[in-house]
Amino acid sequence: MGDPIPVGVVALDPVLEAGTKSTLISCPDLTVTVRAEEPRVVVMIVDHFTHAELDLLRTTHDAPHRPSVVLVASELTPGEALHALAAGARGLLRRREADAPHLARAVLGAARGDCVLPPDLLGQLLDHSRADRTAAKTPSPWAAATLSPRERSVLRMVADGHETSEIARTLAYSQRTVTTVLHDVTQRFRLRNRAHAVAYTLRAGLL
Amino acid sequence: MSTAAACPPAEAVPVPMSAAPGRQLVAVPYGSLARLFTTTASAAPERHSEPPALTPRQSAVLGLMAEGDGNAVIARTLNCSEHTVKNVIYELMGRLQARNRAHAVAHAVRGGLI
Repeated sequence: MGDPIPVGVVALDPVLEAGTKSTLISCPDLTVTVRAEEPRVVVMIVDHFTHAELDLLRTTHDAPHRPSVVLVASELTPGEALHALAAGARGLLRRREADAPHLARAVLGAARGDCVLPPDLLGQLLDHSRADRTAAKTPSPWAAATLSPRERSVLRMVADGHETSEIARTLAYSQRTVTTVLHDVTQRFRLRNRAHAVAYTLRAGLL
Repeated sequence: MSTAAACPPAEAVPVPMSAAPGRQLVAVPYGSLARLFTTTASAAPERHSEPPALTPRQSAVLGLMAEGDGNAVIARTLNCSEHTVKNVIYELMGRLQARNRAHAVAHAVRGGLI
């Protein structure tokens, strides 16, 4: 398989971090990085996946060497999982499934450019993306993490390569409205620009 | 031999050892996820059925564009000059028939290229 994959760990508490590291060390295809080294994959272990954990995922993935992140959470709803994937997670596991072989598979998959996840979660994600999301009214911290019809129509035109003036003309909005709508979306999801907004909302199944 | 009587027969389904059943995981190429999860309504009319093949450098640049990185950050991350990044993007625009960065990124995500 060539050189072992350098892998790092981000965990909520030192005990969890130490336990995860010793699990990873037992895998011959992986090597756990020490302080100054740059991991190719980071295993991030969290309890719940809220906006704070989403930010942590982004910060971890945004390191200069852009490590892939394998997210391990106690539970993951489909909505949470989609946002994690859109933010760059390349592997999803639930904590009860995160034994050494599964962790190794997820890390090696992430290093290859795959996303490794449990089949039932994949099934839930497919069901979730087919369901009419505007009708879904489950109270969760992610309820606001959707797009309004207006936002969706503007973003779809951005995704089709249209500029502000064209979008304004086609949808009969002022250019200022188009800019404001896009500004709101990028602020709300903490995105950097239009390209980022398009990629994120497509990957999260929102567009 | 009361314990033997409690043993399941050999052909019985293996009992999970813990809360984590010995369930297999599935590996999906990251690029195809968006295609799986994207609602059909947002699928753009395909201009070409087959997405164009990209070089590794083009894929890397597109991937970073999709994360909202500007040319300077892309150059730093890929260890090349901004001039190179601009050239790669110029080629990408032609190959993907894209009008701008957002268009190129949307095309690539929808086509499963990144």
